[in-house]
Amino acid sequence: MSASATLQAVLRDKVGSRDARKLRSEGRLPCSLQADKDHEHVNFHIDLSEFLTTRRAHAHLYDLEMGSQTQAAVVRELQYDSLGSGIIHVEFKPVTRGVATEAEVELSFVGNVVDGVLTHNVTHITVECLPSQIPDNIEVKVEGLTAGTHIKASDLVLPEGIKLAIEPDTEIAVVSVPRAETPEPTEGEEGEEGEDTL
Amino acid sequence: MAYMPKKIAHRKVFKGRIKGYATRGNRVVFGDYGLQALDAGRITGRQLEASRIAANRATQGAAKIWIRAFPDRPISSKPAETRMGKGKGDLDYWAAIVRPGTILFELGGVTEEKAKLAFKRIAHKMPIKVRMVKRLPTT
Repeated sequence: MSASATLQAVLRDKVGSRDARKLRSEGRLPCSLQADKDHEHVNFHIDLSEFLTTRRAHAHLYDLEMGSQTQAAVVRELQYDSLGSGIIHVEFKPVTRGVATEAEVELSFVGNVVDGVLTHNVTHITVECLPSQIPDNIEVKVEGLTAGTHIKASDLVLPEGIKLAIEPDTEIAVVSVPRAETPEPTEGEEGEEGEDTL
Repeated sequence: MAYMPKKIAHRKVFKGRIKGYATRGNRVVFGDYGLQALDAGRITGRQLEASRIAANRATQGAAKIWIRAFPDRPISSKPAETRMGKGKGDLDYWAAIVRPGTILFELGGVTEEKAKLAFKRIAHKMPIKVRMVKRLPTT
């Protein structure tokens, strides 16, 4: 969680993949501001390195300066290239300061389970909070959990001012019982087993 | 044969060409860490099975392993010292067609060090360059 970051946005007069590729080659990042009942959809571009700097500073609330106007926004979706090594597009969601909004927050599983394998059913949850209070992640403590334990959304310890926006019964993770290991074939005898394939 | 389709539509298919990057199956979805292909190529069913065993041994069976590639392409070959012609060769093995970016394996329930070791073992079984990746933030 950190203070808001300001980004200089330039409106895109041309859209399309060819123009987007050209912008990326110039170090710009194509973006869009999602439409809602009060705002129109806007296509613009920002400086990629500036955006990455704000990401490193854990910024979640942005002030998009588009000419004479400034719009507060949060990131709704990031799009990556095929190898997942670079951001190619950002979709922002307009927000109003001081008014609670819904945001997707990553879950971070802390600790090691005693026996069994931790399987998470969800890796992100939707929370409702003020745009300035969006956390980086929500910690899920799994230290010492035993096989057969289920973690539900209602079990999460949320920071102050943050509410769940999903059903409290939603299963977050489960510590599954380890499967009985069958003796593996010796070297050169591969292909004999197939108990936990696809 | 460990990995092959249960039902097949065509016994033999054209060789084809592998073009472009993976646009599907290129994100870590199920586990915490993934092994991503950096080259295009064919991964045989045997290689996938050998990799699974190697990963299982590296993690002492503690990890949950997802195999994201499936060998659904029949590869035919002619016997040695056979004259050309007389039709297409017989089915030799099954292979998964992989493009750069495809996530081949995913691991969950293990530490990063264990996952790194398991992927290192898998990488030795692979006919292409691979790298370890983590789940990407979506917001």
